[in-house]
Amino acid sequence: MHTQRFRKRALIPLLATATLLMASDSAAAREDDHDLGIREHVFDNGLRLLVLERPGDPRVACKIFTDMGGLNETPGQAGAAHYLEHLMFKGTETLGTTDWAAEAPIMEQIDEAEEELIAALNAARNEIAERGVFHDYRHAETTPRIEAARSRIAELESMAAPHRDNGSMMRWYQAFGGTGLTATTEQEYMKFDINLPVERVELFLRVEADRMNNTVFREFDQERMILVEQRLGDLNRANTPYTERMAAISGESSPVFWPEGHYPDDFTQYSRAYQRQLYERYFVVNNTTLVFIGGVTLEEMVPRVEAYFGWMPRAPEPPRSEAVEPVPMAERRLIYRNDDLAPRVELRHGIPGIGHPDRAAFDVVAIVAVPAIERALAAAGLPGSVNANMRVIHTSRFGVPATLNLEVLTAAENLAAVEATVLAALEQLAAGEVDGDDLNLAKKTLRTQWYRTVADADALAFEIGHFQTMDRWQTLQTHLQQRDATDAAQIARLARRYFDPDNRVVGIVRPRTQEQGQ
Amino acid sequence: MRGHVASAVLFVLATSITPAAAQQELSHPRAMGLASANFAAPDAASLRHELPGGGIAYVVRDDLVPLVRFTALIGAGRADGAGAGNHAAALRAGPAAIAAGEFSRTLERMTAFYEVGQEETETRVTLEVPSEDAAAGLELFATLLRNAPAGRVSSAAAANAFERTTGESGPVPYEGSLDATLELFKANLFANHPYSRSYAGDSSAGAVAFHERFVVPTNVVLAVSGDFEDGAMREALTSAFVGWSGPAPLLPLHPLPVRSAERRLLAYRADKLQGWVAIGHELPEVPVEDEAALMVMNYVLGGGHFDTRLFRATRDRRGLTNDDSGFPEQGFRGPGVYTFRTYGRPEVVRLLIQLTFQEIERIRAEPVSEEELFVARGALADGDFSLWFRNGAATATTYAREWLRYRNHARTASWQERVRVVTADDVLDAARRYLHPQRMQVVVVGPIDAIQDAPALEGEPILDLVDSEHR
Repeated sequence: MHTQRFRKRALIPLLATATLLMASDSAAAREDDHDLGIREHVFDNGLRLLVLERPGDPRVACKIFTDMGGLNETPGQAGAAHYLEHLMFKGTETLGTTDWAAEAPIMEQIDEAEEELIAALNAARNEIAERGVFHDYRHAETTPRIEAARSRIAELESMAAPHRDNGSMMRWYQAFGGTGLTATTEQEYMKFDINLPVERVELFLRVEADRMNNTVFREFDQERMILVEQRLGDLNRANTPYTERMAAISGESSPVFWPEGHYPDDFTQYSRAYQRQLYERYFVVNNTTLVFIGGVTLEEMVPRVEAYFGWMPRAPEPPRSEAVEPVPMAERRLIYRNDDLAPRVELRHGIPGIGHPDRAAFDVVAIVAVPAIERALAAAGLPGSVNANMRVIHTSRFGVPATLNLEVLTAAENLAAVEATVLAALEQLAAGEVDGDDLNLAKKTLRTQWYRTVADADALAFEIGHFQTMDRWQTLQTHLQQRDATDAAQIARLARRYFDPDNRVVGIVRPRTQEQGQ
Repeated sequence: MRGHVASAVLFVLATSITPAAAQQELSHPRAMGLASANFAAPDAASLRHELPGGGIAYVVRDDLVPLVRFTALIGAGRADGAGAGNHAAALRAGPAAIAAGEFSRTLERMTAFYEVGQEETETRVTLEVPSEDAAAGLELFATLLRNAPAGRVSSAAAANAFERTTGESGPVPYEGSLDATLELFKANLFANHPYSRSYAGDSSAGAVAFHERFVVPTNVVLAVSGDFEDGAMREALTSAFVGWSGPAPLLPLHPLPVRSAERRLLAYRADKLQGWVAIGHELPEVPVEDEAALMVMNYVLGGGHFDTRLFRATRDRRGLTNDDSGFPEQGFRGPGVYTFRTYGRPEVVRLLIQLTFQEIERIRAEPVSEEELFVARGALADGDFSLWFRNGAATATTYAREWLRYRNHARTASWQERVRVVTADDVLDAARRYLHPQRMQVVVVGPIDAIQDAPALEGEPILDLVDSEHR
């Protein structure tokens, strides 16, 4: 036992034993089966309500998940889902305006002017295509017609500006004690969240039902530039080009592997019309999950939710991504020469997404692989620190794989030797040579990490909603149980099946000055 | 709007459902009749536990998950003497009583969260372990505090004692970031001040001396929370610290930095796609009677959320930046810092600086609106305040920090009421007392040439960038 080894060196006697400190009704006992006690109600119109009751909690973590994200974008519109999230902070017909009656007709004219702009852009693009100039299909050059349409939009936006009440969607949450106001868009979900005093949880229903039905796309071009700013922030990091290229060659057909920061060219293509299409298609009640954790009960929440969302009709089932990754057929390699990044060797292997029976054990595999590789490197006399992560953790529902990424940052000049050593360590896992202490520690690490999530209502509400958008919320408990039950034989089976060369992407980062092929 | 379509559908269906259910509820939030928030902070006295030697611990049982957290707030930091940086680095490496490497392995086996943070006049040590390791964790934690740390840390490690954003290539500060910009801002503001004391030359002996001088029961307050029996934990704490003693240290008071009479502009080159900006000056000690008005004022101006004046001026209306916010950081036993931080593409940096100054001038010139007051008071009294007590760890740490600094709980007890009575005049007074744009320091990090050469937007910026320093 580690504590025994430590006690030999301790300077003070251990007077309090673990048994004495442990509460009789300790949380550890309750957490064994990972039954969180989530309660569900699905309304007639398809809206899903999930409540985790914490009696006496003066606050409520509130989240609204929509089953849409980057996966639902079309080529040429990468990042449009994230952009829509930004636009959905711009208010509605009742929040965000000082005079909707005056603003509404201007907004209609803006939509008309945009139609003219799109027609002008298409006309210019067609003209270029007819001349056979394929590389300039975006047609960055302007024409008098394009210029006129843009000027008209700018003029109308200026006319609308005096009627705008910026910040209104956020203001009233904050005025009534809301904290943690944020929103997130990933490949498979968009969520808005707030943490409110229990007495004011109805405000969430008021604001979010309004946001779901009546969003007005204000300050469209200003917000476009905010996305540019966020993108520039990504690009300021030296590793961004490398990680994005690794993602790009990890997949072949699915938008899940498009760069997280989006293609800069696509920013210029976003239109109100496309945004409205996404909004109206996906922000429907039967594509929505509400999650509450705190001092409320399901019985209290059902009639409240009914009052704000019950009137909404069930909409046609939104379309899903049709892109499915083909079966891996070949190893792919990226050699990235760069003097700003630490040299490294990274191995990515495709793994299934949440909902697949093999997925949970990979959380354990990722942890046990690290010491196994570290020991192998040390035995080979190769310096290096090992990281494991799953940069793309998504659902199996759309046939989209995730990847398990094992990375060695190394000062070794012989990167080929590092790669061979990592592969040898993975082969040992496949042979069933899993260190028992490593396995137990990995599972303990995952349990501790999970407890930290459970302790934070906002983080837990996110996990519940995320699992619902990835698969089903019930999968969360199964996932945790499967992690706990993972054994050496299962790890060996997964390693044999998934650590296959044809399922592998290798990334090599080396200084520009180093010879290729070393 | 789709809402109109939905309304039409509902009109058709109106005969089959109740009229009340057919109407979307769109009352303005102020007209919703939302009940008052009834949150009340836990009683500090009942959480307080006296340790041998005059130490104090705040013990909060929180059995939501099987974890136990121990935090020590030490009333001394980087400005308080030689050895501080080495002391923080040594605390990270573990106590002298445990062999090198064994400490980190012990933490790994416990799956512990362990963190040492050091500020100008305070140091914080946190250890969180699963409840099954609570006893061993407490023993480890007590050993850390009761015994001088190992003298095996190099001065290079000490110099790196502050957690900083680092580049991909090594420990060199990331040359283009808000963190690096703020670091440069503080280094310039506090030049030749104890706050900018260099770690160079910090010795191992200095770390030991620092520990013996400052890490004594009367200068350390513990925050303990998690899944345990309250009485057992209190007994265990008493046992763990029995015999711990040391004279109360004389704690230095640090002066205000030398104030510049005029605005200073410092520009640093970084080959990046954006420029980062920190604007501000020192923040003198804020008396308790000013505290609420200062925070309300900052909340309206740039309180780090999506609905501030700075946010509306720079982000919502113009799309210049992802963020432009104000941070009044109060010092303790010395000055604090009040900064405004923003960043953006090179062509908008000058305009960002200009707009930030415009909003600072505006809040000093005219009263805030009743609506701004209503929002800020609600956010600070009902929102932020509850975060201080959002779980056992937050509660214990809030009270421990307050006791370490003030030896009472008057500030937390009165905070909500103090915020609720702030007036527009109070806010105006606070703005004029704590914001001095005429002598603010402006630090810009980024592609300076591109920033300077960018065409003026919305008129000439009030600042002309001078490339005064190069990295």
